[in-house]
Amino acid sequence: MKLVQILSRSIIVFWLIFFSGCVKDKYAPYYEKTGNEWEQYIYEISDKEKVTLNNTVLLVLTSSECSPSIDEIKSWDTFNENSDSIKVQMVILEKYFTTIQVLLEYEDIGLHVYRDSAYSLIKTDLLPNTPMKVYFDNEGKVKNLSPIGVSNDPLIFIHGS
Amino acid sequence: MFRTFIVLLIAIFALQCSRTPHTDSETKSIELIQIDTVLLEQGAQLFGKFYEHMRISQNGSYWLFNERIRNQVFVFNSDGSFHSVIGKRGRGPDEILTVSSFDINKNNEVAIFDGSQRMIKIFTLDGRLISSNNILENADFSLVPHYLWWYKGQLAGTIIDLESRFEPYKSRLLALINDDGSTDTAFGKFDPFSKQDHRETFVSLLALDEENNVAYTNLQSSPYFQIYDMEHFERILYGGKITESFNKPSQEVTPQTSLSKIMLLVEDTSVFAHIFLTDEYFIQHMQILTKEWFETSDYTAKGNVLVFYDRETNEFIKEIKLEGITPLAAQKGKIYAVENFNPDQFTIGIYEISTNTE
Repeated sequence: MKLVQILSRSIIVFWLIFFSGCVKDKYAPYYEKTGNEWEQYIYEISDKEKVTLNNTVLLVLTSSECSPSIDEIKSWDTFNENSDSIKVQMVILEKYFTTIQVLLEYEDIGLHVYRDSAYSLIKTDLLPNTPMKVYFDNEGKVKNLSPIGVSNDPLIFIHGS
Repeated sequence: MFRTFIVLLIAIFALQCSRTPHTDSETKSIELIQIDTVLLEQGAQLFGKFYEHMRISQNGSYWLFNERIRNQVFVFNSDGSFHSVIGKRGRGPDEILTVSSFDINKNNEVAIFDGSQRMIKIFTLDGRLISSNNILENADFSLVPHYLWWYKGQLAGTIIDLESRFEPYKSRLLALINDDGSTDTAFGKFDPFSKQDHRETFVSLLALDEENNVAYTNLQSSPYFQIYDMEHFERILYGGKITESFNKPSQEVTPQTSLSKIMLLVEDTSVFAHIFLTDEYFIQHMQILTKEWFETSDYTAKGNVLVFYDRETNEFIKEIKLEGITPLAAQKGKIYAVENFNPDQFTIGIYEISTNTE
């Protein structure tokens, strides 16, 4: 019985490693994007705001994401309220200001938002698609990125375990 | 290999020729004439963004929209004043997680298909729950979002068989569902054009005519349409033609393709966003995914084309290219189109279809 359990666990661990490898490969080009490229992007979509993305989690999404994504964003909102070392911000791809206002008010989200009104993210190819989250480490490098709506635990994403 | 390809191409061409009538009618001249513009008022409950879907009550008094941010149905009076909001977020009897489809019947009852909970919920126009039932509990198909319609006390929608989701051309096409959520029947055949298309599209549009017992369907990526007899659940016609504005991608686009690459692959290609029925016409609403649309995300930058067919003869009549408006609905010979998508100035233009016989 024990042998069966060990074997099962081995198989699960194998597939976890296999799939995590696939994910890493899939997103590999986007780990190469520098903090400067991201900061330039934020500079362009904001009112020429110079930002530093060190120790920042960026949530990048459109204004009309599905429920699991909204649930995760709320988790990040709570995390942000209680975190001194890592700040969480959003980039929302949306043309109209009112649309974002309705989203934030209806979902009661207090995170700072940059509005990408012309969907420049797609042209810059900083991410393969949305909704995704990106964690920039204390040197501003892309340390981790993954889709939003899969896991609601910010700590797992940041610490990568 | 090349010879096989040519033979296949000729076979497909011949098959289409034998099935699709495409004699152009030169006897009718159609124009859209604007007769009204209505600004939708922001009420006590702000709306942020609507899906490009609109339903109109049978007497034309109420306009309904699916709000994308709040996942609720917003109801307006036809003068643009706010009427009510239907549904609120949650899993309770009168609550909704996702408004996947909605429609209003002649008694002004509003059916909402909650795709996340796989439930059909029926409300009054004021938002009072009439019934709430599970749907598709043992069904071997999925309902395609957005295209659920009331049909003679039942609900009709386009579907895809679960076992055919990777080969949609093998799937059935339509289902009739009772208002208690049980399936009455599933029938029809997918447009074979899905085999030629490069977009893995499985969304079929639907328009129904209760008076004449017919359903029109149109695969979103296909220039062709089908007509079904809703009494005998049989196909009457596979028709349509490739018109001047139609263009499909030359390379395959899959869900795995990145957004930036999709943008390049589908630039200037066309999809069908709606189909409309009037007494005289079957109308396809084709959208062209322009470079400007991708660069600005301005909905009005999409090319919008209406393709008119004569309902009596099923012959193609003409294409009309629209400037800066997006059609959402048709009723009693009128087209309802968005003129401004800004939620602070959301405007519907009403256009009469004017026909001159030459």
